[in-house]
Amino acid sequence: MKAFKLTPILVLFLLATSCERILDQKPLSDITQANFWNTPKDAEAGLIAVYNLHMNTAYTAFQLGEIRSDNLEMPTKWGYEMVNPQSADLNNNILSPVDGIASWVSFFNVVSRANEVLFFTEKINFADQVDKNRVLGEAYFLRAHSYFTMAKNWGAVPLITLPFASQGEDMYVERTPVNLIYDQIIKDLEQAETLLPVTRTDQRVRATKGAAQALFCDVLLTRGYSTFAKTDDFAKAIEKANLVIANTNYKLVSGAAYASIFRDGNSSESIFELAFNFNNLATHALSNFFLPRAYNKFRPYGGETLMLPSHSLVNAFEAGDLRAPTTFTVLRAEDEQYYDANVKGMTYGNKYLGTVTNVGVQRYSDDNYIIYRLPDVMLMKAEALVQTGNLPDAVAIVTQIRARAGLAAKAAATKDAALALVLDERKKELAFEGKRWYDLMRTNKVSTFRTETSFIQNRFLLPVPQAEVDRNAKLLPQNPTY
Amino acid sequence: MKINLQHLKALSRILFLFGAACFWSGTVYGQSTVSGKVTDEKGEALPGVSIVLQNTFSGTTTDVSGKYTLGNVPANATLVFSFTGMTSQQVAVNNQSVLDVTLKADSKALDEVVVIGYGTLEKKDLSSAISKVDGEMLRSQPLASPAALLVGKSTGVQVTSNSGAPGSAVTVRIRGASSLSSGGNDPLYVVDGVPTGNILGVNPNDIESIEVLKDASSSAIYGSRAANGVILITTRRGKKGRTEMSFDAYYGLQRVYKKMPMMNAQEQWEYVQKGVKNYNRLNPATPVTVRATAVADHEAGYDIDWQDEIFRTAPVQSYDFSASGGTERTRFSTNIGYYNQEGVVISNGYQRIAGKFSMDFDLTKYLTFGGSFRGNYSITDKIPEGDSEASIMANMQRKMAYEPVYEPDGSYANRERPNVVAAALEYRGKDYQTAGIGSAYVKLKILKNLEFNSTWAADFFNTTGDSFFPSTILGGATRPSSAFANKGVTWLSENVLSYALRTSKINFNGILGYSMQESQAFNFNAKASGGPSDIIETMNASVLRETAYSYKSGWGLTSIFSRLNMTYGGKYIASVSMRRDGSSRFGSNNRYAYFPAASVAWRVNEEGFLQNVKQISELKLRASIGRTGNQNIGNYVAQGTYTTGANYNGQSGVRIGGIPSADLSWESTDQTDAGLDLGLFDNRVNFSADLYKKVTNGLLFSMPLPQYTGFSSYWTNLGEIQNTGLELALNGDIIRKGDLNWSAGANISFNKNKVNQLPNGAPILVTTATDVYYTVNATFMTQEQLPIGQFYGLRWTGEVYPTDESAKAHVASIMGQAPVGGSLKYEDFNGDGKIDANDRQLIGSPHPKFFGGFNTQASWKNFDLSLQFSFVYGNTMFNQMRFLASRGFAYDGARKERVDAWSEPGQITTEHKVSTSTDARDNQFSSKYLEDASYLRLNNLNIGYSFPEKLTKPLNIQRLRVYFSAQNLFTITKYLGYDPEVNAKAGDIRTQGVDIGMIPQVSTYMLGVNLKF
Repeated sequence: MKAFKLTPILVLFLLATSCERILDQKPLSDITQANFWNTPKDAEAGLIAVYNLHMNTAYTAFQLGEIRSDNLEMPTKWGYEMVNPQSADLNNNILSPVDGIASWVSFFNVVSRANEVLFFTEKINFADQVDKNRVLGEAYFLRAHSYFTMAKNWGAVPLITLPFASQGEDMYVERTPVNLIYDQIIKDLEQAETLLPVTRTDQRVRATKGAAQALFCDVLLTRGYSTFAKTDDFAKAIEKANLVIANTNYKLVSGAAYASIFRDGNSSESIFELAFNFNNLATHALSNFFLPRAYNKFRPYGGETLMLPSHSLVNAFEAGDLRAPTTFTVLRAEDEQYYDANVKGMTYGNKYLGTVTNVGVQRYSDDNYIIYRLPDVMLMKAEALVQTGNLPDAVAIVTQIRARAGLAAKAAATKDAALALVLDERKKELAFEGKRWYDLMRTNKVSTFRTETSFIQNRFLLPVPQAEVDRNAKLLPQNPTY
Repeated sequence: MKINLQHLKALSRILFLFGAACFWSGTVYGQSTVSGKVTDEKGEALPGVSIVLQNTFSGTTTDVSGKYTLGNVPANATLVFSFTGMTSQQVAVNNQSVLDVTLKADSKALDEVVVIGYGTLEKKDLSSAISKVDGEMLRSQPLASPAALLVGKSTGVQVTSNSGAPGSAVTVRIRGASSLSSGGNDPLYVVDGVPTGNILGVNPNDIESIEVLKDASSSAIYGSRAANGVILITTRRGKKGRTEMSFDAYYGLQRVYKKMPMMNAQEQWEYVQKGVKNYNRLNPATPVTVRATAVADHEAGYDIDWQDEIFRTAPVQSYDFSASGGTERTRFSTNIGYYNQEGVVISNGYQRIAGKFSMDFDLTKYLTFGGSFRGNYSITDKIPEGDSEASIMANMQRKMAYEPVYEPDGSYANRERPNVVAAALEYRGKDYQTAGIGSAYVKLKILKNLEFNSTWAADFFNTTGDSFFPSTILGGATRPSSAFANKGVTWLSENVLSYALRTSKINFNGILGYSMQESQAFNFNAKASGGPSDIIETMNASVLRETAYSYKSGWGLTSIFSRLNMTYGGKYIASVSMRRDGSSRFGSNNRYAYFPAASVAWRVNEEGFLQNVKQISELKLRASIGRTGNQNIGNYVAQGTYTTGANYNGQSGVRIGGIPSADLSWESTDQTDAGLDLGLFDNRVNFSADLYKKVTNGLLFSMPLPQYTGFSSYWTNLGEIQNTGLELALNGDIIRKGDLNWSAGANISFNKNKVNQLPNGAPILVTTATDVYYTVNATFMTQEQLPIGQFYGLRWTGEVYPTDESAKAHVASIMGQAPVGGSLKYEDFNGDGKIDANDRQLIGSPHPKFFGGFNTQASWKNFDLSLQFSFVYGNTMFNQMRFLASRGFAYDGARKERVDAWSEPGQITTEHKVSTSTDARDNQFSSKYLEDASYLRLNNLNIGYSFPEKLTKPLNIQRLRVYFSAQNLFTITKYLGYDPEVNAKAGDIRTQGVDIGMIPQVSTYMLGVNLKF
């Protein structure tokens, strides 16, 4: 009798215990490691994520390459007085380890995701080996580029070339000396140069053999000046430059069409640039940095004038230089009514105009950000030629660049004069493209061009981020002057 | 063949039990029927008295006139008569058919029934630490959340309202913080047996009682979710008897009780002049003048008190109707309430309509069905609050007094800082929530002592919301618009077998249960911008689709649990329990865990040697030990997920979101508790004390990683936190003399939090992310041997450098900049001659040393008075609001004390310089802005008058009471901000004690009425 009464209870308990399946909750909106990195499509998706992160470094890369140089001045009273304290500090080389600008996270994000692509792609079967090589080559290129930016800015950094797959590994490493970082960059670039294709349909916004060679040239040229330089660095830099110059994919744009390099992107002289497009929600802040702020709602909103072309940059342009109107411009008198009173007659940077939508008046800062274009590589070659003593060929390259800009040739009799000529041409040609600070640092000319008393001299590296030191004290000692 | 027959019989029995129970009654044959009347000592009839045939579940209750009839009573049976507040009586039937009984009032209120997990227990049989708050204590207060009502009422429970905004969240900590994970310190809420995340929908007027399970012995029955204690909310249920109806309403006005001392227009103007002067002194080459817009505004003669523009006196009102009652077999309870609270900041508010209905139906004496449904619909009218770019409160402090609200043409005046009036009025954002819990149960008496209860419940919510910034405010012509929808359903199945046995010596009960819970959630949100007009606030008009996001997730929990309680001889009490939980959140290696607990108690007063000590009416010693857990992490973090959305050039990319943690497991908390309950003078004075130690192991811990790894953190089980504490409570019936009654109670809790061990032993530094423009972020250090989340920054010496020389003589640099006169002088902690990040030190703790409350109730004739106080002592707050209004940038609004800002070399002052350039920044996180946030507050004062019965009886009104009530009538504190009860960064236990941008607590004055038919 009792047993019968218990039966329904037992039935219910049995029903209940059969429901252990509720403990197996599969993520419906996430991918897990178990079902990723299996197909070539996964490798491609992983690679796109590296580009995505690399794109996110453009904002920082611009600031690091340009703001400490003599190309920019930070306004204190212009526009809406939207002074960006960090930019003003960086302009004077005033930095502290807690500053956001000293953070290397965006560059290391590129490195770690590239590490994953390299590690996992090796294990994926591709129908076409060429395709696999391309994926690997692009990842090597992106990793090398990120490490190069870090080596120039922080010197010694942790060298990480494998993904952290679990939490058990020792993540608390020391910094690797900068010469070894360069060795790794060169190893990666040798791989990239071998594996990457020469052409592809989206060849200006994805890594190609030419892009790898341009970066290779830059790396060798930079190392050529260093204490750990190899004797043939300059010679090899010239070799790499020659490969790019000989590549029929790359042709100089005419002087008249100079603006189109930036306005339209993907120009014939572009070797590698990062694709931005507001429709894809890919924007940076360069238009906001340069353009004046309109207070009248009938003018496109979106400029903050956080930085201005320096007087030395404006003065460097000779009359008739076809590049000048694209590089900077003066606020037109008829537009002054739309802007704050104290921006009258203001000269502002004009390379990044972004996109103004038809509806509304929002300006989206989404011009492609150029990493390498042909004149850059030509002038790097010229610089290497100067260093190897071949002044006539160096001057000839500068003449070619000047001719494109509608300017007559200039001569240089000595090595110093030739170097000065090359650097001056680079300053004008590549203004606001994140190059000038590295030019000055590489050639040890920072103190020549930054003479203001407010500027802190003999400080060539960024501090190791305090947040990182707080988490791993092995990163100490801190960089000099901090 | 035989077996088949058995099965058939079994099947027919199931049908029999569930469907055709009417046959059942025929199977039980009775002896005789007993009837009678139950009265109290005054001879008045007592309705609702429970009469139970001893050692069985069969019984009945008395009707309105105190009468009862009970059939099938064996001739030699004993009946147990019990009623709340009365001493139970056991009466032998002895062949009598009429038994009239008089129950005596129980001066020892110990027969009070306490709700415990999966059951109830008489208070005298308790061996664990449970605080009970009677529903009557929670009425008539303008607070939307039942949790907020617990402030100051229970030992060991610290309640902090994060903000004074209507419908805002509350931080509840029971016996300290035991986890470093986000949300890992919140208690488990169980409403009428259903664990739920939504308690805002519970109408405080419908609450019968709230029990707080504090020690492991009481809470371990909830296993993996009980490490932070359990709050059981029990709502009203119908009782047999006449239908009672009640109507409760109040209307009140709220206002901010304190204003910040801000500069007026003239002071602000002079402040700007000083800023220009200081800037020019340091930058003689590039001198500046006052901005043209500032000059124009000053000349126009505006003098705006932005606080007056933003704050208002706001009404709060509540209307509530309840009815309950029951017949012989059916009982019901229903309640519907409307609550409307407008915010003290213009243009925000909260409205809620909440209702519930419950029904219990005795199909037979052995089978009871029942169910309830509660639902609520609420609308929250939002304004940008807290730490956000558009934050009204934060930006208000930075508006200049000489700046106008409106231009002469009536349009909003936009200056450097957002026009907060425009932002409050023009921002459009509302949340709409529908939520509810439906449950049904069947209760079956299998044997006379054995009962089976199966409950099925669904808990659902659906929240949608939208927001829009028109072009007149922040965001300008981009007109950002967004919307979201979150919905979730959690279903629960609970099947519990319970056994009770009561003999003269032994009172035993035991349960064995199985429960399953599964939750599925769906989130959707979208954001777009670039619409052509302010008229359309929805995204159909937007040009740029910025975000379109939907996400599904779920979790499941299966549990088996059991508990045995036994009281022997009325003296010795023991309880053991065990729960096994399985959770979907953990890796397959660690999916199940066991949570055991045990407790013992000894009622010393029942021993012979104390029987003659008449003063001591109760003396109980308690001890308990047990283990509870915490599983509060993301649903899939153990699995190491990849995230999408890392796109480039129109192609989609996928990247890893976190490192997989296959071994990730529960946080487990071992708690021991020793307690003492003492009742004196017939329990007119009650004292209780508890001493506890909670040690939490294997912390679920998002370990920050150096970012060069490509990850910012990973989940792990490492480290140990301990909480030790002492809780004291004293309650007394001081006067009980005819017309005059006066009682009072006080409680105080001391909790000491300590991190015993951290992964790697390395301190963890967390810096708050701040979205408000131009502020400094607080840094917190969590370090071994210290409480969680200590403030970590520079120590301000209390001085300002009078001259450039004195500054240079002290240190060579401050955060990389050359020191100048007028800067704040910080302590050079490491003595290296410069102020930098290495000079940071521990400068304060957000944890209170103790907290508690006291209350008193008095009544004289028809008047009644109650007061409820709460206090918190010894905690530090980062007054980021004061920082914002003291930053030293001339074009920011400033507090009055900034008139003393340094402006002349040689000037001795404690206020740093002001400048028109950001180079004057003295924006280091330092002790200058840390303040003592201790307070004592009169939370509630209530004075009522009940009309005499002779006036109300003819109107068929049982009770008519009117009252005046005031909340937060006064707050005694040294805190310089609006209110010391605030928690802007509630989400992360490591960053508590920050005041930024939150709407302050308000004072409310209201009139109300309670009507009972």
